[in-house]
Amino acid sequence: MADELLWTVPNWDELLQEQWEDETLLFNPASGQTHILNLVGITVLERLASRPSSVTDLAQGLLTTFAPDDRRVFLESLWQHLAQLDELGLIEPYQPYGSPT
Amino acid sequence: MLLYGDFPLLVPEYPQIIDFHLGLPRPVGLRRWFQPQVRFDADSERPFAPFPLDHAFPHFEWGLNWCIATRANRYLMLHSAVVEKNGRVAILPGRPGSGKSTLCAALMMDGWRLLSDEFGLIRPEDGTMLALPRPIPLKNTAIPAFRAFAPDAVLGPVFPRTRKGDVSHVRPTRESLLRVDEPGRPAWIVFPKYSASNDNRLYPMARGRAFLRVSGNSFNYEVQGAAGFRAVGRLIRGCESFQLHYNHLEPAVEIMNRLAGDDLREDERLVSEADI
Repeated sequence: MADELLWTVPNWDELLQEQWEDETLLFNPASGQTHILNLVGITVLERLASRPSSVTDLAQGLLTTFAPDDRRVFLESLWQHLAQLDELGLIEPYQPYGSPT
Repeated sequence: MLLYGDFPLLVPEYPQIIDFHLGLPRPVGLRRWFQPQVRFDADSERPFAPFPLDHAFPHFEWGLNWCIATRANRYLMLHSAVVEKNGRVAILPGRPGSGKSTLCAALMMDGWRLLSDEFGLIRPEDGTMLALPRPIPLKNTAIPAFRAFAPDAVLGPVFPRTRKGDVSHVRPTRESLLRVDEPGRPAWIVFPKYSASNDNRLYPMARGRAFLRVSGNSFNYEVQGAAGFRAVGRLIRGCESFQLHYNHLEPAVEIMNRLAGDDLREDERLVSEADI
């Protein structure tokens, strides 16, 4: 079985943040865009920034943290979050230095 | 002179920096005699097509707005009216038709200092706002509504059928002009929303939503990049944000005066769950 793809945040240190209540405003200098993220969204970014992770590992950690009533709905929502974050250029597949592309 | 009579004139002999060199020449040719026109020149640019001579004043005012909107990128520029009372500034951002100019003129006639009816210019170094008081243009039905509210206000002539409808300008108060060099410290962001129903009320707004509304309202937020994000963040952190629904000037001014006097009701301060 092939290793699962790992995801990371390519420019976490460059992102600017403002946080109010459960919302985070995020400015990405690379795109010039401003995004608004809920608590799950910013937690996903924080975890991927601290350590590149597979979707499976990420989902397990988030299920423990948020303990949702409906795990299936939560995981579907997580997939949507990841697709959006990828589309916005906020996350990307992790490629360790020197690994074959 | 009616509208600019109280403005100070520069003394030509004194050292000074002139930001813009403007002209309103009349094009030569047949147009000089037949349906005469006038042109707006800004330095070496001619940004607009010539317009009817009898609409020269409103076009001059729009031309001044164009100069600031295209050149003042040192500041974060909000599309907003800005007024001050008791040393604290209220920013009234709004799209055309939101009623921001009419409300701004009414507040000015009620004793608020006018900083601007069109531009919220925020200095990135300290977050204060520049004063840029100029005649306030009112349009269409706002003209009689404002006259009824402030019968003593000085208005210029009505220019009928401009590209924005009928337009008349309100002269800024003398106090606003005397304090033109004083920047203001923002305390409130109030989004005016003219409402046809009899709903005159202040609704508190969550900070995240206010951030998006303010950044979306700016002329140059995207041009400013990270500096714009920091400037809006500091503004939102330092201000309370509201939406003001109104359909009459009297209750709207009364609400704004209560805001300035720290006299809001509890329900006007509570952000609802739905708003977060």
